[in-house]
Amino acid sequence: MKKLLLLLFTVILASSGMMAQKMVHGTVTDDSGEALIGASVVVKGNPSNGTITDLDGKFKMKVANDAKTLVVSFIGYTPMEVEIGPSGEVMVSLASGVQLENVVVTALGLPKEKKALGYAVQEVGGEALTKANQTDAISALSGRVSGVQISSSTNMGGSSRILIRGANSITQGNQPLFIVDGIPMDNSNFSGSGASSGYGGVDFGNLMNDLNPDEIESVSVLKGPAAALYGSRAANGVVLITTKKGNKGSKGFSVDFTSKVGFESVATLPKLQRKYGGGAIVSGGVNGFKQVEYNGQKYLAPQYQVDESWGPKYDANVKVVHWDGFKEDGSIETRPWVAPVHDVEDFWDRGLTLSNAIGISKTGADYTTRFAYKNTKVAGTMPNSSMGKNDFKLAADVNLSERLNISSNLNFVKTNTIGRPTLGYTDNSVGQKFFQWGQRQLDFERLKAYKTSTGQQRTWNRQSFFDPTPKYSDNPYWTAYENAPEDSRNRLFGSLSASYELLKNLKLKGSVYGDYYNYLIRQKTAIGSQSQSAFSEATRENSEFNYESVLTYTKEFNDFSFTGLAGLNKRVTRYDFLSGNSSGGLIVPGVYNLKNSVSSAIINDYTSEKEVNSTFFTVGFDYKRMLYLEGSYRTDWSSTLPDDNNKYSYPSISGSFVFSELFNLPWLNLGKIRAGWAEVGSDTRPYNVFATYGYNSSGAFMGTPRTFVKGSLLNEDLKSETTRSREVGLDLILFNRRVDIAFTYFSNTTFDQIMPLQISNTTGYSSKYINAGEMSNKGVELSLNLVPVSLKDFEWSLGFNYTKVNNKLEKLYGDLKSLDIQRAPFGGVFLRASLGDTYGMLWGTDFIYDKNGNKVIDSDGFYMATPSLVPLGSVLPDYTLGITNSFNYKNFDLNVLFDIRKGGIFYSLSHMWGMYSGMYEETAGVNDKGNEIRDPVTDGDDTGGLILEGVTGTVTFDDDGNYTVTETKPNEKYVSGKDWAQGHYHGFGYPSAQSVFKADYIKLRELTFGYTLPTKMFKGFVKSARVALYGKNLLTFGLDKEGFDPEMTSNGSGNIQGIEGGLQPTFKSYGIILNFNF
Amino acid sequence: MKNIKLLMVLSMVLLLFGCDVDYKDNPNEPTSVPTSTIFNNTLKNLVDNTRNGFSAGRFTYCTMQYWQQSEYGDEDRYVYRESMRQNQNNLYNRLANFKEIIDLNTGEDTKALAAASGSNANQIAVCRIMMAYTFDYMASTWGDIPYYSYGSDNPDFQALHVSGYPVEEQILSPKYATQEQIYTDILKELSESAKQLDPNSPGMAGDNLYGGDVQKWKLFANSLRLRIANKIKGANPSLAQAAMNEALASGVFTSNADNAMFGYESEDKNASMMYRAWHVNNRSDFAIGHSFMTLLKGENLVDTATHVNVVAGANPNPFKGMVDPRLPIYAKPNSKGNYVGMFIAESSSDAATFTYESLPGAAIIDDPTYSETLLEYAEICFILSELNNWDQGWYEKGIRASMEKWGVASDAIDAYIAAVPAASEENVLTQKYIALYMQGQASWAEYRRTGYPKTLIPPFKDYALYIPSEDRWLNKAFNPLVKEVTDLPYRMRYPAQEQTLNGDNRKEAVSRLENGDVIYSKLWWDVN
Repeated sequence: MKKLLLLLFTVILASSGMMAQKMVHGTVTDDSGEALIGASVVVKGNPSNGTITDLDGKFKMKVANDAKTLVVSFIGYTPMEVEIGPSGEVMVSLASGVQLENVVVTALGLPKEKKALGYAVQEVGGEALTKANQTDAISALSGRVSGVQISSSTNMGGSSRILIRGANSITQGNQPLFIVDGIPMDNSNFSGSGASSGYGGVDFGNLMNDLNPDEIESVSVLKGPAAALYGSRAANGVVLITTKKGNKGSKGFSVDFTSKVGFESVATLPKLQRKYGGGAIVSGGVNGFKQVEYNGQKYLAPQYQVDESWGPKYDANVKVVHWDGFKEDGSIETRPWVAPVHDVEDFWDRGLTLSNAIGISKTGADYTTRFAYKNTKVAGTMPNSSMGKNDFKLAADVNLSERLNISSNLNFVKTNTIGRPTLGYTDNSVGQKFFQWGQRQLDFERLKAYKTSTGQQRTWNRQSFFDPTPKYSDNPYWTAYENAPEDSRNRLFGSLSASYELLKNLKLKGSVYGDYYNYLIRQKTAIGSQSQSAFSEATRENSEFNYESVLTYTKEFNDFSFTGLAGLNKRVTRYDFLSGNSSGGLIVPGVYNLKNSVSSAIINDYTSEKEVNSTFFTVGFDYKRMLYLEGSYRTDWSSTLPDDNNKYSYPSISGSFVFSELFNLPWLNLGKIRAGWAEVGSDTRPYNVFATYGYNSSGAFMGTPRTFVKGSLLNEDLKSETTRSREVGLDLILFNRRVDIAFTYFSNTTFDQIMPLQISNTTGYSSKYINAGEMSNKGVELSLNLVPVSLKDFEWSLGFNYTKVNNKLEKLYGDLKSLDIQRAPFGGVFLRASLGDTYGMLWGTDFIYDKNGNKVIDSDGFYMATPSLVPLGSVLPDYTLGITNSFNYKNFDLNVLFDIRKGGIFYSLSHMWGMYSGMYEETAGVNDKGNEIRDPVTDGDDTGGLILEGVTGTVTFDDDGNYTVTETKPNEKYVSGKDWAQGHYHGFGYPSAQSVFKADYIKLRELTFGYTLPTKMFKGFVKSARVALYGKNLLTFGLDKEGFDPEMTSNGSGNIQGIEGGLQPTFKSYGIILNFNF
Repeated sequence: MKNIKLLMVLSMVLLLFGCDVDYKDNPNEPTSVPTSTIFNNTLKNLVDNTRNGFSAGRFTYCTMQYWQQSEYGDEDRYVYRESMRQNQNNLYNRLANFKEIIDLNTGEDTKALAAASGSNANQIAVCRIMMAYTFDYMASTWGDIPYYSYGSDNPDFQALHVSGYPVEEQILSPKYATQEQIYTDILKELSESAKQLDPNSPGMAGDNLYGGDVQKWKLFANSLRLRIANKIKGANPSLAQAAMNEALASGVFTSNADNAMFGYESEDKNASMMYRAWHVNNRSDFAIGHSFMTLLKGENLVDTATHVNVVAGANPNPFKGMVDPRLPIYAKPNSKGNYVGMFIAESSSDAATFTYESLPGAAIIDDPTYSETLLEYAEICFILSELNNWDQGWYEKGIRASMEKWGVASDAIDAYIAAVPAASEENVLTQKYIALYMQGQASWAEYRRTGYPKTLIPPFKDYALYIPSEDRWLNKAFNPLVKEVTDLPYRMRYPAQEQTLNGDNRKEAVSRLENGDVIYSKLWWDVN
C-alpha cells in the first residue's frame, strides 16, 4: 500500500506542466445528463494537449492562453466542438444517436465505458422495466438479460428466484447480491421451506420486493468476473441497481407523475370434471346416494364427509340435501344434483392495483435533489386479500467545494399485507381443497355463506348429515376471511458518502451504507376451524451496515492511461427473531393475542451477528483505447469461520481488445474480444463451527427443562469455499449500429463448498458441516439486438436474450452419490443433488419402458414402476430465451416480450391427489368405445374403464435394478377408470412419474401499447406525457400438461424448486399507465 | 490541510492491518447443560416416536388389528409411508443423546459437572438400559441395523461413531451389525447395567419413568432382559436361557407398582400422543379393529357365506361367550350404544360409508395424562407361565395384573378368571395379546415369534361384520396391497435414504434378508 501511494505521488509530480497557460474545467454528460467517464477532451489543433473526464464526468486542464476551442468526444456519441469562454468553464452534453452502446455501471457503482470492459455486463433501463407495471424489480428482468434465469410466482407480493449463470452452491443460497445505489440490500425470503416444498406455508415473497421499480434508473447485471470486487456474496453475481437522482448540470426543476391502474385475473388453472359430484356411489343406496330419515321424511344425502369426487353422475331429476340444505330453522332444502353454476374459477376475485407516484427533482450546477413518493394499493385475487405500500425517498448530492462532494440517499418503505395465499399441502391452502381433495358439485356462490348467524362455520365437508362440524376441509371462504395471515414491514435504507479530491486525480471517498427492516407476521386459525385454533406472531429485525472507504486514482500519459483503486469495507449484520405460538388453542374467539392461548404460549428467540472486514484493490490500464487490462484482489476476514481459518483472498483479471480500432471499416462500429477470470471466496452463515445444545421450544416437561444434542454436526475446521469463473466473449456493433451482438461463453466452478453434508442417520446425526463438493456451470449467453427497419416515422427493433447453462455436480464427498435437498410431501419424488447430474434432480419411480419406448403394463392392466427411485430429470431449464419486439410509429409504440423456457421438469402433488380423488377432467372421460371410463368394466361393447397406452411384456431385473423387457404385446386390458385414477398414488406401487411434467413454456410475458402525447398541446407546461396500456402473462403456450403452469411451483427463492404440493393458479394482469413530466 | 490528508492516508493504512475479526460465538444456545435436561427430553421423545399416530397408530396397532384406520386404509393393507420407515432416523438421534449423557459422565473434563444430575455410574447405567430398549425396538422392526455398544471395541459396531471421535476416526457410513451380534450385546448390556446401578448413590434426575428410583431401574433392566431373551430363544436357545436365568435370579417385576409407565402432562403441548391426535390435530383416524372387537366381545370372526363359520385360516375365539371386562375401557360404544369394530377399508370412500365404528376408550384418547406402558408385570407373568409349561398360576396372575392396571373392578376380575379356560399355549398367548393392547410393537413381536393370536383376519380372506343397530351384515375382504405377503408383515423396510447415504452397507445387510428389503423377509429370531 505504501509503495503504491509513493508511486502515485511520483507520477503526479512528474506530470505537472510549466508554460503560460490558463485553466479550463467543466463537465461532460450524455444527453440524459448522466456523467460520461473517460470522455476525451482535447484542444482543437493540438491533440496532444488533452485529458479525459473523471468518475463524475469532470475534467480540468491547463491549456495555452490562445486556445479557443475544445473537441470533446466519446465513443458512441457525436463529437462536439465547444468554445472556451472567459470563465474557463465548459459544460458539454454529447448526443448519442443510438442507445445500443453506452456507459454501464460496474462494480462499486463506477460507470465505465462498455468498450473498456473485459467481461459481460448487461444493463436494462428503468423505463423498460416499468413499462408493464411491474410490482417488483426481479420479475421485471425476466427475459431481458442473457445469462439470467428467473422464476416468479404471480401471487400477490410473491417470491421470485433469479439465477445468474446457473446454480453454484449445493446447499447454500444461489441468489445474487443486490446493490441499490451502493447499498447492499437484504433479499431474504421468510416463506419457509414449507411454501416452496409443497408441505404448506404462506408465500411471503422476497424482500427485494421493497424496492420501488418506478424509481429505478437502470439495472446492471454483473456476472462472473465482473462481480468479484464485491466479495463473498457476489459468488452468484450482483444485480446493481441505480435509482433516479436528477442530473447535475441540467439546471431546473421537474416533477414527474405516474398513475397506474391494473387488474388481475386467473390465467391458468387445472381442468376439472363437471360430470360427477362428490363422495362415492353408495351400494344399496338410492341413485347412488344414502337415504337418511329425518323428522319422518326421507332424504337423499351426498357423502359430505368424503373429500373425493367419485359420487353419482349429475342428474337434474335427482334432488338431494346439499351441504347448505340444512337451514338454521331446522328445515331441510333439497336441490337437483347438478354441476355448479359458479365453479372454482369464480373463487378468485379480479385483483386491482392502483398506484400513484410523484417524483420532484431540483438541480443546479453543483447539486441535485430528488424527492419521491409512491402509494400502492392492491386488492388481491384471493378474497379478503390486500396490500398497501408507501415508498418515500430523498436523495441529495452537493458539491460543497471544488473538491468536496457529499451525497446522501434515504428511503423508507412501509408495506402492510393481509391474506397472502397459503400454498401446499396444508389446512389453509385452498388450492389443496380445490385441486386435490374435494367435491365437484359445490357452487362457489353458495359457499360464500360460510358462517351461521351465531358465527359457527358452515362447511360442505360436514362430519355427517347430523353433525355440521368440519371433517377435513374448512369452507374456503372461512379460510379466506377468518384465517387470513397478516404481515407488515418497515424498511429503511440509505447511504451517506463524502468524497474529497486529495490531489489531482486522487480521490478519497468514505461511505456508510445501511439497510434495516423490521417484519411482523401474524398467522391465525380461528376457533371453529377444522384444526385446533391457533395464533402465532413473529417479529424479525435485521440490519446491515457497511462502512467503506475507497481511494481512486486516474492518470493518462501518452497512449496509456491508468486507473487504480484501493478500498476497505467493514460489514456488520445483526438479525433478531422473536416469535410466539399459542398452545392448546385459543380461549376466546376473535382475540389474536398470545395471552389468549389456552396453555402458555411457546416462544422462540434467536439472534445472529456477523462481521466481515475486507480490503480490495484494482488496477486498470489501457493502451490507445484499444487494449484494456484490469485486475483486482480482495481479502475478507469473516467472523463466521474459525479464528485461524477466517481470512481468504481472491484475485480477478480481465482484458479486452477493441480490434475495430485497427481498421476503419464503415460497417464495423465496434468489434471487441474479451476474456475474464476470477475467484470469489465465501464464508458461511453464523454458528456452523462450535457445537451447542438446543432447547426444546415446548419448555419444561414434568418440571425439568429440556435440551438436546442437535442433529447437525458442526465443524471446527471449516474454511472458506471458492467460486472460480471464467469467460470469453465477443462484442460486435455493425451496420451503422443496426446490429449489436454480445456473445459470452462462461464456465464457473464452485469447490470446497461449505455444506451440511447429509450423512446416514445411523451416525446419530442427519448432517455434518464440511467443505466438500464441486459444482460447475458451463454455458453460453447471447444478446442480440437488431433494428430491421428504421424509417423516418417508423422503427422496429428486435432483441434476443438467450441463456443456456449446463450444470453438473462434479464431486460430492467420499462414496456419497447424492444428497437430498427436499422430499416431496408423501415421498413421491425427492429433489436431489446427484453426482454427475444436473443440479436439482427429481428422483422418483419411473415407468418401465421397452426398447421402443413403450410403457410396460402389468397383467392387471396397470403401469409398472421401477422398483427403486431413478432420476427423472432436473428442475433447471436447459435454456431460456427472451424475445423483445419494439415498434415505434410516430408517437405510438408497441412492445412485446416473449419469454421462453425449455427443459426442466416439475412434480405435481395436486395432479396426483386430484386424479386419485376424481377431481380432474380426465377422470370423467370416455374410452375408445365412447363409454364413460367410470362405468363398470364388462366383456362387451358396453364396457366402461379404459385401456392404458402401452405394452405388456416380461420384465427381468438384475441386481442393480437394470431391466430388460421381452415378449411385448399391445395392451388390450380394460381397467376401471377409478382404479386407474387412484393408481396415480405412487404408494400403491405405481410410477410417481405419472405426476411429473416438463416445465417448458412460451409466455407472452409483456405487451404494452403506448402513446406519447405531443407536448405542444400543453403549451410548454408539460414536458412530456404518455399513456400506455399493458398486459402481463397474457398468454401461455407449450405447456406439457394443460392447466399446470410450471410457474405454479415458483414459491420460493431458495434451492427447493420444482415441487408443487398445493397450487394457486397463475394470474395475468393488464391495465393502464399515465405518465406526466412537468 | 496537508495534515488532514496525511491523517486520512495513515488511518487507511492502519485499518489495513487491523482487519481481522474474531469468531462470534452463538449467543442463543449453551455449550454445557445439566444432563438431566437431555435425559428428560430424550426419554419423552423416544416414547413419542414409538407411540404416535404413525409408529403405533397406523403401524403396529393396525397391523395387529387392535385398531383399523377409519379414514384411509393404506397402512392397514401394508402400504407404509416413507415417513414411517424414516422413524429410524429419529430413534438414532435419541440414541445419540443417550450416548451424549454417557460421554459427559465419562469424560474427565465433564463428569464432575454431570454428577449434579445423579451419580455418574447410575446415569451411565440408565442410559445403557434405554439404549438397549431402543436398539431392541429397532432390531425387531428393521432387522440388521448399525449398532453401538458402550465400551465395546467390536469393529462391526459402527453406529454413533461420530461425536466424540477425532475427525479421521469418524464413521459417516456405518456397517450394519447382524441381529445375533446385536441381541447378544443387548443382553450383555442389560446385565452389566443392572450391576452398574448403585441404589446407594443418587439416581438420574429428570427421569420421568421411575423418578430416579435406582432399584426400579434394576428391575426394569432384568425384566427387559427376560422379555428379549424370551423373544430370541428360538434362534439362540443357550444364550437366551442363560440370560433368562440370570435376569430372574437378579429380580424382575413383582407387581404393577414396578411397571415402566411413561405419563404425560395435562397441557396440550405435552399431552399424550393419542390425545393430541384427537384433540389437538382434530383427527379421528382410528377405530377399534373388527377382529379385536370380536375377540373382546367373546365372538368368533365369521365368514361371508354363513355369518356363523369361522373365517378360513383363523381359529375360533378361545374365550367365546365371555365378554372381556376391559372392553368398555379399551373402547367406546358407538353413537347407537353398541360396540362395533372397524373393517379393513379398501379406500377412503369405502371407510367413509361406514359410520358405526367404536373409537378407542376415553382413558386412551380423551385423557391428556395417559401413561404409555413400556413394560408391565402382566407380560412378565405370561412369560413365566410360558417358561413353566403354560403354568395356570402365572396365567391367572397375568390376566389379573393386566385388568388391575386398566382399572377393572376386582369382582369382575374374579368372575372372569373363574370362567376363563385353562392355560394353554393359545390361551396364554391370546390373553397376552389382549394385555398388550397399546403396546403394538411388543405384540407384533409376539405374533411373529409364536403365530398367536389366531383370531386375526388373515390376508386375502373374506369376513363378515354385523351392524346391530341396523341388524345387517357387511361382507368385506382383506386385500393387502403387497401381493406377496402370506402372513402379517415380518419387518419394516429400511428408510429409502440409506440407499443414497449408506448404500454399500445397506446392500450388504439386504443381501442377508431372505427376500430382500421387503416386509415379507423374516427376522433372525422369527423361526416359527
